[in-house]
Amino acid sequence: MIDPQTLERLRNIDERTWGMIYKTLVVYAAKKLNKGGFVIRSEKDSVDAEHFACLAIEKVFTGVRKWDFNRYPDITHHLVWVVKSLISSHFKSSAKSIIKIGYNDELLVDTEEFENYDELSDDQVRRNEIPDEIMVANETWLQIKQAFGEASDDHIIFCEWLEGTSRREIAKQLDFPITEINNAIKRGLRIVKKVIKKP
Amino acid sequence: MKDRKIDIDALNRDIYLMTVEDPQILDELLEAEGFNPKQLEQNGINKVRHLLFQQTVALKKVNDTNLYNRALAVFVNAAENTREEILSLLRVKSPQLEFNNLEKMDEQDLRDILDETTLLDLMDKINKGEI
Repeated sequence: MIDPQTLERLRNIDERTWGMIYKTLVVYAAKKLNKGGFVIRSEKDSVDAEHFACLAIEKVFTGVRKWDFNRYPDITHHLVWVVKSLISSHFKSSAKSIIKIGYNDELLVDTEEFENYDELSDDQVRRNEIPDEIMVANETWLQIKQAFGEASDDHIIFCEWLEGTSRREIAKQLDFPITEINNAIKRGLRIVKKVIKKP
Repeated sequence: MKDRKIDIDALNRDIYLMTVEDPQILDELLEAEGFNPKQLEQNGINKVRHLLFQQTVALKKVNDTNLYNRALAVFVNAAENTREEILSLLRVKSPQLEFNNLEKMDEQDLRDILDETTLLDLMDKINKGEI
């Protein structure tokens, strides 16, 4: 059960902020579930992103995933992390170890099983975390490139970002405003969604 | 171009930071995923309202039960003069009740008395250490 101090902290967050937090969790869950748009979901139990946002909030409110507000003062960071761990656990429990999505793309990780996930401490879960990586095939890259068409700057920005360069770094390197980098990434994400379709 | 590995968590972290910096992007991404941002916002608020109510009630229940048990323990274990003091208090609070034979009262009698009197006042006094 939740302790009174944590409940009071949660009560002090205004409703508008809760609305924003909820939307943030749903976007995060959606992108985590479909691997940034690169994977068509194939788990047996294909629950939606909102389910995980609700579940994370429930687990924090009932004290199952305790919010250590002294250590992690931002509740959104904590909840995002809970969503992330819930989805990792979901993948493991739905026996989604390796999936094929056409071409040579495949999910490389998420093969380890954890039992009694809720009984693990936050630190244990963080220690057991496996990097979530996918291999994107050459054919997919080419399709993405083609879909960008003439907008080669946007394509370069998006590829740099996919390969792990932060938005700020890209903006600095290219001397572009951050809004332009954000727009290129949004465009890239839309393109990936179009390119990766069910076979 | 070769096959390349992508770190999904790093991408998601950056998408999250992007939405924190610019909430408009949050709505755009939600729409691209097929969600209605306004509806989602309301769903979130409703969910939190419900959980706040539920957990407040649950905590109060636990708190009240603890106080109730402590109230009973005070009655059962109190020295004679303390019992008399408590019963005097109950007589003042609920003159319509009769407290004749203290020694013969069992736990159920005490529960009945407590239920019929201003139990919360009594609990409050216990909580503050006044009894």
